[in-house]
Amino acid sequence: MKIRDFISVFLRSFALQAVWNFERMQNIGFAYALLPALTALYPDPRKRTEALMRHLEFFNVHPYMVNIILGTVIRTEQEISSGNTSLTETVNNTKNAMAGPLAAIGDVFFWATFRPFMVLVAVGIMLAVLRFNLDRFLPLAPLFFIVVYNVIQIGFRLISFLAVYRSHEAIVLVIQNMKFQNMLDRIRFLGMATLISVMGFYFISYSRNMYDGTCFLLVFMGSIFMGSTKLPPAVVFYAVLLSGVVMYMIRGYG
Amino acid sequence: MEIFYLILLAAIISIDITAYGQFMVSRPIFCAPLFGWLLGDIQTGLWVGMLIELIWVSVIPMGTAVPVDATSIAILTLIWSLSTFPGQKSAVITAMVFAVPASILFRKLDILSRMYNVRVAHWVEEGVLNGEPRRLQYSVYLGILLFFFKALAFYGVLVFLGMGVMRVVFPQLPNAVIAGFTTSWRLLPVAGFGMFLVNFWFGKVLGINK
Repeated sequence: MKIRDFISVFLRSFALQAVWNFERMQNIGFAYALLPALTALYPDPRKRTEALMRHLEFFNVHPYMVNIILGTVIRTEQEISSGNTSLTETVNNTKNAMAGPLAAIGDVFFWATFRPFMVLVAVGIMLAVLRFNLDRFLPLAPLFFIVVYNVIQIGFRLISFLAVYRSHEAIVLVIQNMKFQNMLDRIRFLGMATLISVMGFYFISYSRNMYDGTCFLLVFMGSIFMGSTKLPPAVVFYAVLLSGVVMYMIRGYG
Repeated sequence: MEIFYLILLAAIISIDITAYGQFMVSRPIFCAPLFGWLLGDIQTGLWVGMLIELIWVSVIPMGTAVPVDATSIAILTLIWSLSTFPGQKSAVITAMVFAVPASILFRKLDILSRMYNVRVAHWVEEGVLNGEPRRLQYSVYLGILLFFFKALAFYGVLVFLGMGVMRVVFPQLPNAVIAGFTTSWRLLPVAGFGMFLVNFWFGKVLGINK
């Protein structure tokens, strides 16, 4: 396989969910990403078709974690194409056995922790820019979010793809070495510290008197209660609007 | 004419949600200031992006779940409010009141397109079996186009409908509601912080099918 095949597989992995379907989920996107590698490995169209059909089975993973699986599968297909046909039976089982845990790691790490943390930092920047009327820096927060987030997620996808491809046998070690749990704990800790700072800054900057502060506190406690009882965010949103109207009617707070 | 460009941009940005990339350009924290800036009020865009990100922080796409679409809440809120009653915080909140249920329609369309994709997937499998691997490529292009046109149709209809509703409903709102919504402008981030705390502290992921 040439470098351009790896680049092509990597770029195609961004379209993993283009044909997301309820029957086999990301199977088309996965086979599409893998196609340049299979074309290089199997010059015989019949064998290539067999290989493609292997990868049109059910498949679902977090989109940022797919490169880990692509790296492993390419390595396995390389071995199959060079004569180790015993792996044809196991390649799909291995792939799907990896997909479940990787999907869970991706959901918890990227969707539920890293992205919210990046949002929070951007919110902090935004509130500071708005509070101190730094109009020239208004685009700073969204630009910070989009640039830093993507440098990290694209970097992760690329590094994990190459690392797993190079050390196929030690895939569990590669994943272990990424130390997701440690990173998760650190980001959560940092997230809490950032949240307290941003919240403190907001309370000081936007509450004008004792009544304001009390209203803020009531809404804050109420939203924690509603969030903990798993009420949908839309309900929290409408409840806050209702409290806004009630608070205005009580004391003309505006 | 400007509205048509905004609808087109909204449809292009929507591709990022699922079909290609997930580079987060569709997240409210980025797309709301972008639309705010295009509509001449980046500050409102920043505020709306912040509100939606904070309050809907726990809604994430896990497994087969198709979550509520935060992108459409942000985009519709900004287009509806800034193109009808610019500079009025209560108009932004009023627009958001209508944008939240509208996002459920976007989710329904998303589910429909994913159901249609089952047929596309069968068509591809059949083609690959018959030695036509190019169908993989065509289906990916088709999938991306489907997401694009779905979003285009959604925004094309909803943007004009919502602007009409805003023009009729907003001036009719009682003063207490208008003032209450202005109050909520500063209360909503506080509620967002509470939701955020629940997400980080309890480590909960609330948002499937909400």
